[in-house]
Amino acid sequence: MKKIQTIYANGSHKWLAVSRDPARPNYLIDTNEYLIVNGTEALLTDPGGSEIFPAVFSAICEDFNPTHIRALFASHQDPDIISSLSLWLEFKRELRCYTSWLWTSFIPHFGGKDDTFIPLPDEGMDIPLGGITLRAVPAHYLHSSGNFHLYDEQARILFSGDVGAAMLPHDSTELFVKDFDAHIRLAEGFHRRWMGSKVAVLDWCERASQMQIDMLCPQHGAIYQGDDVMRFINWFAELEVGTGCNRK
Amino acid sequence: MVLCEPVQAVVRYARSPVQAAQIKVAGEADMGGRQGMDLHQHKAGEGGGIERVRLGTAEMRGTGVTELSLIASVNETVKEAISASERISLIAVNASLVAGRAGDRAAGFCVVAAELKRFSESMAADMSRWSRLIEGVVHATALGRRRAHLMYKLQHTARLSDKAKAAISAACCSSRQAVDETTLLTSQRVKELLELIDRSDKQHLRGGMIARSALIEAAYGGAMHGVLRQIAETIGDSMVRFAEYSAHVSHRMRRAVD
Repeated sequence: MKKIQTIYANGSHKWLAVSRDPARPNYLIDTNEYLIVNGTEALLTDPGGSEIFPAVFSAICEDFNPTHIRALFASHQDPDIISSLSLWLEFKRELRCYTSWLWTSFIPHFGGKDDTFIPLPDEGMDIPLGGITLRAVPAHYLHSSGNFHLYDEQARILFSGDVGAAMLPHDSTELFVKDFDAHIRLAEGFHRRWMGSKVAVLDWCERASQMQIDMLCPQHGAIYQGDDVMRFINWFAELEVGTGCNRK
Repeated sequence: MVLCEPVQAVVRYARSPVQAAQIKVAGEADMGGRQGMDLHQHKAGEGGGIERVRLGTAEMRGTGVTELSLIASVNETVKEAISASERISLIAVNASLVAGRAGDRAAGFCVVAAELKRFSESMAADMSRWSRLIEGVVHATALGRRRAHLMYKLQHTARLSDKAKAAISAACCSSRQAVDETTLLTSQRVKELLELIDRSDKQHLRGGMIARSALIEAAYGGAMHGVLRQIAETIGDSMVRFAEYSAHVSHRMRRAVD
């Protein structure tokens, strides 16, 4: 089963990370889900694929009453992001899913109806959550053409979807990056291949560097915190992307 | 095939053999069971144990054939039957034309040709209903598989911890109801299809009589005897072919729901 850990808490405002399932089969990519709680309302980022729904749901139940989850946030349309949607809706039909307007007619292939989705315009928008405001931040073409990250200004945490992702060894248990130089080698191949636009990378780095970020939380791999956040942004800005396919 | 423990546990929740089949197949797929489907079914016995109930067809066992692939395969035979019935319609038109040319000597064949035309029209209407019903069975089966998959995942979630079970039990119940509804829908569609196949079988007896009458009347066709006989034989061949397809569909559907 996955573990749930509180990574930020200030009164009733919390971020909980659901990660590292030792029972996960090797053929499924590991994912991190983040539950953002404020008061009695919660939002779940990239809830994951249908295969891992039982592990994610039961982990959340350990620390939080899942009936208080009001919304899902899908950074983009991939199956490891949102293919569990129909299961979440079986659990709670009133759940709403924030996602790029680009995917509101694609994701229903996984589940949901017209009124399930709250389309995010390209420029992003504010998402209210129990008295605080989260910001859906554009990250288009990183790697999906309609892609959003989620910024919590009060907690100074940025959920960064696939940006910052790393392919960790199967037995890895670390939730936070401990050795940036060693860790970034596990992220390099992923970013070279999955991120296709240098313009989009620089645009995002510019935007991210202007935010106050204590934690950068990717959907795969470990969380960057403190100085490692800016280290990552600088590394990403320098990276030659769209070159991960080794053509001979 | 030995069921994985989680699948066995979930199958205990099943309320009917068909539902158990859907859940079990969904579960096996989830457990990575790619070695073929043993469609022996399970249902809750009186003592809470698992009683094996036969649902699947012999050809499905150990071959990896699933409900949907069975239905798709049956649908292919239905298409052949429809094609055979269309051919009978064409023969009916041809028989009328040739009988007309043969004049008074083929008066008897003319009557048979008119009967064949009526028969082919009724058959075309039946075939159209076959198509719609088989489409309905495909739709209901696919929906059933999807709902059974959701139910399996929810039940699996409920078994991971007491807290998860408490939180998700309502969803499990409604999911089970949805599976029940789909099971009923599938059963109704299959029943309608089988009734229609029975009706078509009875029709086929009439077709056989028409084919035999055509052969007898062809003998009185004078100079046109050879052509009329050829048409009569074609009618007979087409009837036989249609009957074979119809029997094949009927046999497979009956075995699948036996």
